[in-house]
Amino acid sequence: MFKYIIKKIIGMIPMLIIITFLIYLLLEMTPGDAVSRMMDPEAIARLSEQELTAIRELYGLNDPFIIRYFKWLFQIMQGNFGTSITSGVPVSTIIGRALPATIELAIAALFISTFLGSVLGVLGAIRKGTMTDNLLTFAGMIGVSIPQFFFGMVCILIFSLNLEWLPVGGRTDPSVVNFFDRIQYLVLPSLVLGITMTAGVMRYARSSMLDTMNKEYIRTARSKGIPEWRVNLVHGFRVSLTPVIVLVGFRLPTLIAGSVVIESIFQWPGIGNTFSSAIRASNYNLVMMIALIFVFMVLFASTFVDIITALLDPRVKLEK
Amino acid sequence: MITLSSKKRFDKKLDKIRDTKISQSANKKQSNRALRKLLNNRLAVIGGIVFAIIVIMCFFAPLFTSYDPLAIDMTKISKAPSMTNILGTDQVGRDIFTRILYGGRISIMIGFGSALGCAAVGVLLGCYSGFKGGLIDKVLVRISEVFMAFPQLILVLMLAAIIGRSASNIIFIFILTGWGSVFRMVRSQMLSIREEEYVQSLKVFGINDLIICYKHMMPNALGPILVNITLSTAMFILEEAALSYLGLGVAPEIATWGNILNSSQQLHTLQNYWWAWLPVGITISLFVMSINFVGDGLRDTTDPSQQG
Repeated sequence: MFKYIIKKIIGMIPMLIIITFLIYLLLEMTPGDAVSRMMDPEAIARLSEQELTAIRELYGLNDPFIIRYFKWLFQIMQGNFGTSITSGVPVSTIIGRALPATIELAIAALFISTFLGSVLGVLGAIRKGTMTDNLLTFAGMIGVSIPQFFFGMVCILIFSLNLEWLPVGGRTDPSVVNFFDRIQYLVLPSLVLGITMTAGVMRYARSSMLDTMNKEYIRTARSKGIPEWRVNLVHGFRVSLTPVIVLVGFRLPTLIAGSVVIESIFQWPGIGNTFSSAIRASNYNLVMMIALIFVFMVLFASTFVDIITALLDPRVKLEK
Repeated sequence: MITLSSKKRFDKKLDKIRDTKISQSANKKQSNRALRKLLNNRLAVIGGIVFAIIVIMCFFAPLFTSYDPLAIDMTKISKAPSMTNILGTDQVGRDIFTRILYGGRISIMIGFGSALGCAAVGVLLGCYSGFKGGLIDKVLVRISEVFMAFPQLILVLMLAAIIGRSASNIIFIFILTGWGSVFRMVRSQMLSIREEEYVQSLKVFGINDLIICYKHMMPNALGPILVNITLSTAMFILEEAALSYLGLGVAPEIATWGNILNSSQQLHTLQNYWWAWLPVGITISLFVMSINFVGDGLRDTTDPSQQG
């Protein structure tokens, strides 16, 4: 087992190198050079042309591409992500400031989609072929077909503008001190993001539950005279949900892409919002660093899922 | 005499009718079973009809509207739906119904073009990679893994910002970021087809690898691809809309579904001018839904094991 985990983690290294290389390549394709990325723009403005050339020489900007790449990689590994070209603030500070908001939103959305998705999916599986099941399948189809931002707009119109129950956007206001005071800001974005992700989970939970209900031990349980609800809940639900929970990791890409859209509708000050506004401002260093973080997260999550699956299911190891 | 000949003629006609009926039913039996199964799926049929209506209205837009989608008319800014402008006008007086139709052309083209492109690239590379194996296979799998490690929207946003936002660039980016899944699907199909006896015997006959791969094996690996094309068309249309909504898609003056929505981001518009965004949103949702229903129906008919 230990060997398998080590192997998985080592297997990630070439991936990481290729991806950082790709991102550096993209970064090089964008206008501006490393000096403008590493330094405060105001400081650059004060420098003369000769000084700039000297600095370029110092940083080795005339080196071949590969060498520049490794230098850049080295900087990143030391935690130096450069500065934002629009504000001069170090990228790590910007990301550090935005990350908690995104994590908060992501956890809420994951919780909502996991809960709703598994309950509805299991319900559909238990009532397979009935009106309830068909309705749920249909609703799921609508769920995957409506653009997230359009759903968000409709929700803002109904709950914020017309009913005035919830704030239009943002994460907090100055008078707020603790989490429970600003929970009203979290409700709408996390619900919209969570509900749009529910359909996928529901589908998966449904087929997983159907799969489980065809197993022999379910028949055994029934023949023992255990009441139907107990068979469904204790024997079926519990077993069929394990893969659904593990699949949280696979939902991460959807979650990230979703957060970019949702955060900009609701003006949520998280990474996704920072990302899209950085793109709009052509703040490429920030863009690339955020992309790097996203990719790392996805890679780590999928490796983590692989390991968890292997831990839960010994057959996986044998295949490798 | 007359009655006899007419009776004969009548008999002949009857025979003819019977013959055609028999041949028709024989034809029907032979005709695609999958198609009949698809036509029995009510949702798929409704989806197909909605899809057809929207596509026809968009591509024959000039028949349904007399306005120019780009013509600015300052005399009627943000007018509510009326007899002259059935879905009202936007902030600069353009007719919204017209813009939805013309916008649909570009959105549908981007969605469909990208899905086809992904399928083409994925099938071509996947077939060869799965058939050949070895170094080429390893490299291609790695490349597809790299592209799939990026959350797609993130990569699309980055590339669109760097290489520019024309419609053809967007299609190119979608293909670049989306070919991986088709590639993997075809590759895994090819891996199992490769072991079949007819392939072995073709090899023994010394037939060119490329001919074996693309002429004899490829058609057998294409089953799931049709479904994939429909479903990814839906996905790309949603992605294009999200991209334009974020203001990072096709240039804002060109009408696309996403761009029309983008121009009503302000809360003021959202609250007061529902016609500027609600109809477009509904159109996108309906269109994507119809494609999804058709895709699902196709999958159920072609691959019964997937049916829940």
